[in-house]
Amino acid sequence: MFSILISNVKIGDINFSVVSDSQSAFVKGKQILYGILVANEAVDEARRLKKEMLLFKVDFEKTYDSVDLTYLDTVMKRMNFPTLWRKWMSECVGTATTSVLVNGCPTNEFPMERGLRQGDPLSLFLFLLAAEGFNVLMLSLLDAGLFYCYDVGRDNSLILSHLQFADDTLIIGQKSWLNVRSTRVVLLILEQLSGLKVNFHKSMLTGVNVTNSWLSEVARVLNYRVGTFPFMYLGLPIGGDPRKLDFWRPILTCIISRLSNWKSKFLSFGGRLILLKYVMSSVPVYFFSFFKATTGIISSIKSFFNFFFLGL
Amino acid sequence: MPKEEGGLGVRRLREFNVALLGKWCWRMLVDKEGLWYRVLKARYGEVGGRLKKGGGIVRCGGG
Repeated sequence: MFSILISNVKIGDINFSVVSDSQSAFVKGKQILYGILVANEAVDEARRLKKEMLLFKVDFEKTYDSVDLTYLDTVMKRMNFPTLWRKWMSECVGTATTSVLVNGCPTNEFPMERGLRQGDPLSLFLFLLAAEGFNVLMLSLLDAGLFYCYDVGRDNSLILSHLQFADDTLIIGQKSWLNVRSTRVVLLILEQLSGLKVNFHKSMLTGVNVTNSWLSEVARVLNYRVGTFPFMYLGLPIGGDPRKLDFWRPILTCIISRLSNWKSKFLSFGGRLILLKYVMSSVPVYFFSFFKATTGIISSIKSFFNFFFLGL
Repeated sequence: MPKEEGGLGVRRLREFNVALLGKWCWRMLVDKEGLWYRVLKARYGEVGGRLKKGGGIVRCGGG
């Protein structure tokens, strides 16, 4: 209750100036699509200008549960949050106790050392602060010249090194062994500091204008997985071509799987209408808000709808 | 499937798609601070507060 109060009153109004531009989650005025836009534009540009680019999609294990609370407190301290505030936060997050059922009887309660609780409206924002640690690490790598970031534009006016949406992280860089090694080191340091452990098997390495043999060599040495374009980031494909039918396959399969035959047969006219209006036509909304659908896609979705609705 | 004038009120997909993409035009004009806008600016260039058309690849005509 206490934390809900604080998050409603304070965090909702706070201008999140401590959270960097590379993060696009949960902050007023930032949208999930922005991260996708940046990633897509960068990939598209690298392809058109024949630049070499390395993309590394990082997957963290059990993100919210593994944030170290002392680390979080240190981050807030470094961001110059006042002591009273930090005390509130540790009160909200750190005072929970847990007991485990062993053979049916609960053990003694013990306090938790790490982990933001999911479902707590405050934990989203606290996680952003924790993720900011990764941003700081990447920036210090850049400063030290240990990471070759990707430059956007013909005059290379903007540098791009990483994108974050809560725990979904995409590292963008040039093709070099140095980048691969530094990324690995940064992630290991992050694990030591904050407890955010990278799931290397689920993480993925891709490149634009990079040979497959090079990629697979990197992957073999560092135990990454090699991915291909288009890959999904935040639920939308990166580096795909929306003019192709294959690109829209996930949407079409989703619609087809929901419009199963029995529904068409046994639902009433009104029931089918409601299903169509409120469920089916919302399926492609997320795709539609970023990609332009071709006439072919639209008409095939429409024909699925017609087919279902008329019960043919 | 048209609208209320005798129709069933099912969403028109084509128009809906265009409307959602149109929001990007609005964002391009309003939110010029964000990283995403700076990426677009670095890539396509900016003239008079608007993005240049870059080889027909700018979504929805560059604002």
